[in-house]
Amino acid sequence: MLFFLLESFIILLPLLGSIAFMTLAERKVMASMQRRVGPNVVGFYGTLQPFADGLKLLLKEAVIPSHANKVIFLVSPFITLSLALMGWAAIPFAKGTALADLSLGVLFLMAVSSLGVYGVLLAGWSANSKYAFLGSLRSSAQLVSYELPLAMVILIIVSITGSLSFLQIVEFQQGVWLIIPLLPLSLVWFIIILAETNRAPFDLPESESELVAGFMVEHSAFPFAFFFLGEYASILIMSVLTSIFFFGGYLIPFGISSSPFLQSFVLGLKSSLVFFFFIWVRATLPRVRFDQLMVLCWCSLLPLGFAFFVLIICTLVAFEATSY
Amino acid sequence: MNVFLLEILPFVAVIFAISLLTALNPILAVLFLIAVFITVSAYLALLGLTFLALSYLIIYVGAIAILFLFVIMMLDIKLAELSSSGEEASKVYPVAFLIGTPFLWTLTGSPLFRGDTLYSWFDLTTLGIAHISDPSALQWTNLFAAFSNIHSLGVCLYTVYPLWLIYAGIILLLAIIGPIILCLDKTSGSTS
Repeated sequence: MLFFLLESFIILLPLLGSIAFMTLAERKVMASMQRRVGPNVVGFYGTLQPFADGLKLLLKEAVIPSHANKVIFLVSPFITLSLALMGWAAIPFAKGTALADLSLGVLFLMAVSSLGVYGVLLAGWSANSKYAFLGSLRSSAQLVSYELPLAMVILIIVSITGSLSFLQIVEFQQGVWLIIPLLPLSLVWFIIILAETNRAPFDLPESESELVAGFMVEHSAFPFAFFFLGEYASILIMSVLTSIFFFGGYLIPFGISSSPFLQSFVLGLKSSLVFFFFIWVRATLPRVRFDQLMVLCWCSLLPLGFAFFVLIICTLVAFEATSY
Repeated sequence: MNVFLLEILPFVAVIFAISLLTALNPILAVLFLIAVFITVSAYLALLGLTFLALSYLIIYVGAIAILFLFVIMMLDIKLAELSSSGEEASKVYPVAFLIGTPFLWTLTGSPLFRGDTLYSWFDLTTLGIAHISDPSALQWTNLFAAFSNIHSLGVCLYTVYPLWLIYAGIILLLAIIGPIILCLDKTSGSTS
């Protein structure tokens, strides 16, 4: 039991640290793309800025609206954060290095990420405010819609690799990374993960320049920080998933074998590049309208996903290339 | 620890189910429904049926209950009306008791209904699988020891019960098409 707790802490503490530095990286990269300096006062070139922000949020008063359902109001940010952290149990950081090498790891991650909508829905409803409520309806409609093409892409990858275990999906890509045979699908995947993590150009739930903060408008101080952490943890998990599904996870190209330390470093490098893509898109593209978002999902991405599923299954059967 | 949890979880699920029935606020009722689903899937996972547990989470909690919650949240319900309708509902409890008790009695096979229990209708002959000679396929939970979860479920569904799989598929198809047919507005000639 103690050992299990220790293992969880070994994963969770660096994770929370990397979330803090992700927010800093986002502000710095966006600043340099927009010809600004960005945070540069706290610490060495602003490296301690996220910790200063966190401390500020900790010291502020958490305001609870008088007509809010207090229990659900306070529990919903906790649900969001804990579900975003739970998915990390199944992620392999190097060969044989995962908290739990589940044979149904992909399914576990899908189950956990599909539960994440509850935090959003309950936060908006429990605040008893029309703004928060409408924000939560918009946000959950977006999340639920984009879960379908997400599941389609994952199904295709699972049918190619023939396994629901992350470790085997990574090991399958020894010969070639899946982005090379599945390049069109990876573009679909990039669009979906942007929408699924509520990032620009699909950041409609909290479009900062038009609306207030969407479903978490009534949450302040620490409950707000929980939402913030949960959001960035899910962005990080999507980056890691992208590198596992399309960029060979912890594998080093050309079949060079290496130590587990180097392997996990490679995984981190790949995920950081995917996260850079998140920031790049945010600094470049304008926001889409809500109806455009829905049309893109239901009329383009989902049929495309179905078509790809049939095509790839048929190709696998025709060439007798199924690995099961 | 696991054995202890296996004893506790069904009780927790029943408590959640009772609070689901007695909750006046429909949103709280849906939340209790979700809690029932989650406890049941935890129970299945502890039993070793991880695939069923995870598909429970994905399908029921992750999709169906969210739609319930979504729809109920958008309904315009006043809390005062809810409490009055709750009092009305409590008048129905005796009737529900009168109907429910014989049903449960039949289901569990009490002495009064011996020989005609609901369970006995579903023996091997009525299910149409009495001719299958391989007894290991009928005891499908034993397969879990030999294969992975998905493998053993697949072996069962596609070799022993293919007909029932197709029946279930047709029922689902009807459930999809039926509401669309019901929603068609025949008078105006448009689908809106």
